[in-house]
Amino acid sequence: MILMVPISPEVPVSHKPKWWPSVLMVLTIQLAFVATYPTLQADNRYVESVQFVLEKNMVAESEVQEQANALLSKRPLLKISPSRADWDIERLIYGNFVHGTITHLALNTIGILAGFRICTSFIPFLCALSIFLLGGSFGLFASMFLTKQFSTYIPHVGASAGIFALMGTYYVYNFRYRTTYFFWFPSRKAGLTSLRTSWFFFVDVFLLELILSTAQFFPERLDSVDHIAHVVGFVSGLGLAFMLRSAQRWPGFLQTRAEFLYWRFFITPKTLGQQVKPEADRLELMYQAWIDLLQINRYNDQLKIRLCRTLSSHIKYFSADKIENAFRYFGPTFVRIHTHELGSVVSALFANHKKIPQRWLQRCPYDNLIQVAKVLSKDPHGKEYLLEFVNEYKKAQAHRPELSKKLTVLIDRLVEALPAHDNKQISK
Amino acid sequence: MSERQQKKAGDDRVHEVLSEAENFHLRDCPAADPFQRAGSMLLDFILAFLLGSGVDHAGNAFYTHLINLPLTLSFSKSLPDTKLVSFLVENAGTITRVAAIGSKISFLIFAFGWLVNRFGGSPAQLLVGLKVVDEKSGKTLEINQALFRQLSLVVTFPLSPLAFFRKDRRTAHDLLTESSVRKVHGVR
Repeated sequence: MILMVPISPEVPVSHKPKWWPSVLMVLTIQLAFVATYPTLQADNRYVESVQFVLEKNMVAESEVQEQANALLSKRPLLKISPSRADWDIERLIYGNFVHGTITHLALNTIGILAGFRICTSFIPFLCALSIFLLGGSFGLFASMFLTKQFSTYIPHVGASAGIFALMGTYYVYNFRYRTTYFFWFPSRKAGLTSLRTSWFFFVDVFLLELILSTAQFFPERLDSVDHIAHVVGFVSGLGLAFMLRSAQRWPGFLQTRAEFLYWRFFITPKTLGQQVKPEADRLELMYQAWIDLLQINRYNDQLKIRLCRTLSSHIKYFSADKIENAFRYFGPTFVRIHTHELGSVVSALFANHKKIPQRWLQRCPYDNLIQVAKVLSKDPHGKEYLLEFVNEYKKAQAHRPELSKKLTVLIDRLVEALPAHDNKQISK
Repeated sequence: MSERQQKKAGDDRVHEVLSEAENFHLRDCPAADPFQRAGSMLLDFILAFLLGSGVDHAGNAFYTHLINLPLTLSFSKSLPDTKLVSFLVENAGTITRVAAIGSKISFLIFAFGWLVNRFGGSPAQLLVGLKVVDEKSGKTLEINQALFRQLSLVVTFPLSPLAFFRKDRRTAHDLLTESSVRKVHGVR
C-alpha cells in the first residue's frame, strides 16, 4: 500500500506515538551493522573462496554438499548468527540485529521505525522490545528448519521477523479500531484518512507473504527473502500480544494505554457490577465511567457502543443534561458505522417521552438522518417514532430552508407510506 | 392480502421512500473535484498494480508447485494419475500464464464493477468520500451499468481529463453510462 502509510491509531493528539523508541531501535541496528561489518566482509570473502575451491577441485556432484558443509561450517558469520546445523539461543537473538547488506538494513530500518513507533503508543517499550526479540527469534528458528536450502550452514539474519511480530501486535490491540493513514495527495483532511484497522492494515502484505512462503518449501526458491520467517514472526507476534493483553487484563473495549491505566486504577469492575445498589447509583457510575474514558479518547467507538447500550436499556434514569452530554460523542462517522446502536437510543428516548438533544440534531448530516430512519423503520417499536424523529430533525434544521423543503416532502411521503396507527405521532 | 402481507408491504414502502430520499440527496451532492477523482484513480491504479503483482507472485509460486508435483505426490500414499500429472507439469507455464491474465482481467473489470454496484465506488473513491451514482436518480449503478462503466473506463481512459473542462465534472465513461461521481462525506 504505497500511497497509504499507517501513521498511528486514530487517537487524540496527546496519545499519538512518540519518536524516541523507534529512533533508539534504529540506532541500535545501525550500530550493530557497523560493528558486524568486518565479520560480514570476512564472511563474503570466505564464501567466495569456498566456491572457488569447490569449482577448482571439480568435486563430484554427490560429494559437493558434504564438502561444502565441511567448509561452510567454519564461516565467520556463524559466530554471530544461527544456522540449522549450528545455533544457540544467544545467536538466535543476535540474528535479529544482523543484516547482510546495506539494502537489507535500509528496508528493515523503515520497518523498525514504523513498528516501534506505532506499538509503543499502547504498550511499554520493553514489552515491544520483548515481542520483537521473541517473535523475531521464533521466525528465524522456523525459517532455519523449514526452508529447503543447499547447505545446513547458511546463516539466517535480519530484523524482519521481529517487524512482522510487531505488526501482529498492532493487529491484536487495534483490530476493532481505526488507523490513521497518510495519502500522498491532498484530501479533505489534508492528506490523512482514518480506516478500520481490520479492513486494511497489513492484510495485503500478510496474504502475499503466505502465498510466497509456500514456494520456500521447494528447492527452487523464488527470491532470497525469508517469507517463512515473516509469517512465523507475524503469528508469534499475534500469540505474544494475546498473552500480554491477557496478563494485563486489558478489556477488549479499551484502545489506548491511558484508558487502560485509568480503568485499572480508578474504575474497578466492582463498581460496575451487581454489588452496587440501588440500580440508579450503579447506572450513574457506569455512565460516568464511559464518559470519563471518552474524555480521554473520544475516538473509541467501543466505548460509545457501551454508552449507547447503557442509555437505551435504562434511559429513564438519565436526565436531559446527561443525555446531551452523551450525544456529544456520537459524531457522523460513528453513526455511519454503528447506526443500529444509535437507532436503539433514539427509539428509547421517544418511548420514554424524552427529547433528542437539539445540538446533536443541528450537527447531524442528512445522510445520518436517513440511515437512522432506516434502522427505526425496521424495528417494530422504532417505527412508531419514525415520523417524530424526522419532524424533530426538521425543526432543528429550520434555519436551512432548502433542507426544510426536502424534509417536508419526505414527511408527506412517509405519512402516505406508514400505516394509520403509526402516524399518530406526527399529529401531536 | 393478509395482515402480515400488508405489514410487509407497508415496511417495503417505507424503506422505498427512505431509499429514494437518500438517492435524491446523493444526486444533489456536489460533483467530485477532478483533482480528487484523479488522485483516487491513481490510488486505485496502484492498488490494482499491487494486486496484479501479487497475482504474478502467486502465479510463480503456483508454477513452482506444478513443476514439483511429482516430488510432492511421491510422498502421497494414493497413486497419482500419471497422465494428468504429466499434462500439468508439461503445461505448467501456459496454465500459470492463463490463470494470471484471467485473474487480472477479472479483477479489473468484474471486481471493480461489482464494488461500484454493491458499495457505490471503487476502494479509493470510497476512502476519500466519493460515490458513483446514476445521474438522474441518484441510485447506485446496476451491475450491468457498473461493468459497462468499468469497460468504458479502460477504453476511454485518454479522455478522462474531460472532467476538468466540464461544469458537471463528468468524463467520457460517466457520459456513456449516465453516471456521475459525487462528493458525499462532509456534505450536510
